[in-house]
Amino acid sequence: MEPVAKLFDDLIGEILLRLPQDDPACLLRISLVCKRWRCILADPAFRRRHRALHRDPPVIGLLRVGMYHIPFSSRFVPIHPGSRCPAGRDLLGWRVLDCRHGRALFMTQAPPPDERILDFIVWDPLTNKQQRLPRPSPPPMLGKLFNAAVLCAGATGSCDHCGCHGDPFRVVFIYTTLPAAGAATGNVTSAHAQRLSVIDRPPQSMFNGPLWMLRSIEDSGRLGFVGVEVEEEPSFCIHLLWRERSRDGVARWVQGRTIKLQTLLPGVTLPPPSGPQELPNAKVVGVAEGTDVIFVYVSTDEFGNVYMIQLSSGRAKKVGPYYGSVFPYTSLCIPGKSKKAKHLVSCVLF
Amino acid sequence: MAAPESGDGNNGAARMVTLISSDNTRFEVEAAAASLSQTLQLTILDGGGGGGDGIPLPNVDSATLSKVLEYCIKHAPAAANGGAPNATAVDRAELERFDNEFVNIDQSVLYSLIMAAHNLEIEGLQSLVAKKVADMIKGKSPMEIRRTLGFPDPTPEEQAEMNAHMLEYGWAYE
Repeated sequence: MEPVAKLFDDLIGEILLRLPQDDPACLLRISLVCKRWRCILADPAFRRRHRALHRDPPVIGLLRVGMYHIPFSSRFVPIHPGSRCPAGRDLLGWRVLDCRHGRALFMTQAPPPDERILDFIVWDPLTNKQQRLPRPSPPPMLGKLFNAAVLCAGATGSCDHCGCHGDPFRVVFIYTTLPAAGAATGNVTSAHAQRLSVIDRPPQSMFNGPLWMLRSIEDSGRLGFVGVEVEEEPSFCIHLLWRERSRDGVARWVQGRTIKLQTLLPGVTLPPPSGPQELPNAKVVGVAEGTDVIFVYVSTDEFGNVYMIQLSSGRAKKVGPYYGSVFPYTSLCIPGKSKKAKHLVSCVLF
Repeated sequence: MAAPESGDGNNGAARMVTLISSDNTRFEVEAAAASLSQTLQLTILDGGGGGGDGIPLPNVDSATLSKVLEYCIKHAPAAANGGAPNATAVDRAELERFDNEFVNIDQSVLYSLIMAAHNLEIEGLQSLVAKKVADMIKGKSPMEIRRTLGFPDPTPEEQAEMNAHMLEYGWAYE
């Protein structure tokens, strides 16, 4: 028997917890060493300890629009350039809509003669498995205003979403039956399970730009949002805002930290603030939900660049040119249970 | 009054405790060093381990205990300073050098050490050994890891299972 076998599971777990965080395939390779190690990794207790030691799951890569001249194309870009896993790849014919809980959602044109109808595909970057969804009713059509999200179908609070990528998932569509211009553009909306919550915007005096939901703290009922705005000085600032439910059950907006973008990107020459009618010269273009990692676009040259910023550490990294919104992929890269995932499709009309 | 935790005793004489390994070897050590173990700390604070009594450690043999105590004696002064916020860079570098050399040992000793560290609740030692083993296997393929850690060759059944997984996650080996 190998000497390491005399260790009990907790101690093997202690060793595996200390593998480097910048090699996403590490735990995946570990899971192939033997069945016992695979079981240790698959145990939710291991993921809890991983979270206690390393906080949030690492951002492994991101999905973005692939090429401007091809209307339906996306690209998976690994964050660690040397990483083979999952490797960078082009996904032609697919346009990314969302990436969450270890899965990505794409739209694609239905085969002729239904090209105006959109079909949807859920892709697991870890296994490269794809699943075409049954068409929702009514089917979203090309040119209509809608949005969609993919999420774990596990009950709220029962899953840490670090190893559920092979489990049942839910896809939620939100589309408006109103003319595009009349849609509720002023509100932040979040659809959870079968319920649609409409969250009023914060007062203009507090924050006036677009907001991204960063983190929900289940126990305290707090929702964290982030946005970039030009301050009076003028300089770009990252604003953190909380939506908080007080004891009497009334939700209100609370101003969190404000961080100057220049302090996070000291080596970058920031552009001047944009005029009211112009496109913004700096903005949030994606967040890794459930972590404190955000992606910020800065118009530094012709196309502009996207930077990944971890708010707690202040660490920033250039991740490439700007192609529109980015959809970060976070994962511990632990194999899921190998089974055919069932899925649910929900539609929300408003 | 209980002996102060900071190592140096009241009159320059540090309080000593006796630990008894599973093979009945007695080790006399400063209470401050033994107190790096959360388990022992409670007994020592209760006044145990002094005089002729000794604290029996039925799960730790003498070879392992002597190695564990080597670690504790080296780390005790820094631990007494509450994680050594005022330690100099030289002190820290010296501890780091000691740690690196300390774990440069045979695998089977590493495993005995990590089990002892776990039993005695010496967090620093446990994570030091865990990190060392993690460093031994990082960046390696599953077969290389098996070889490094002395696993026997996989049975045909294990091999088939590994192959199936490799097929599913082939990109990790591209």
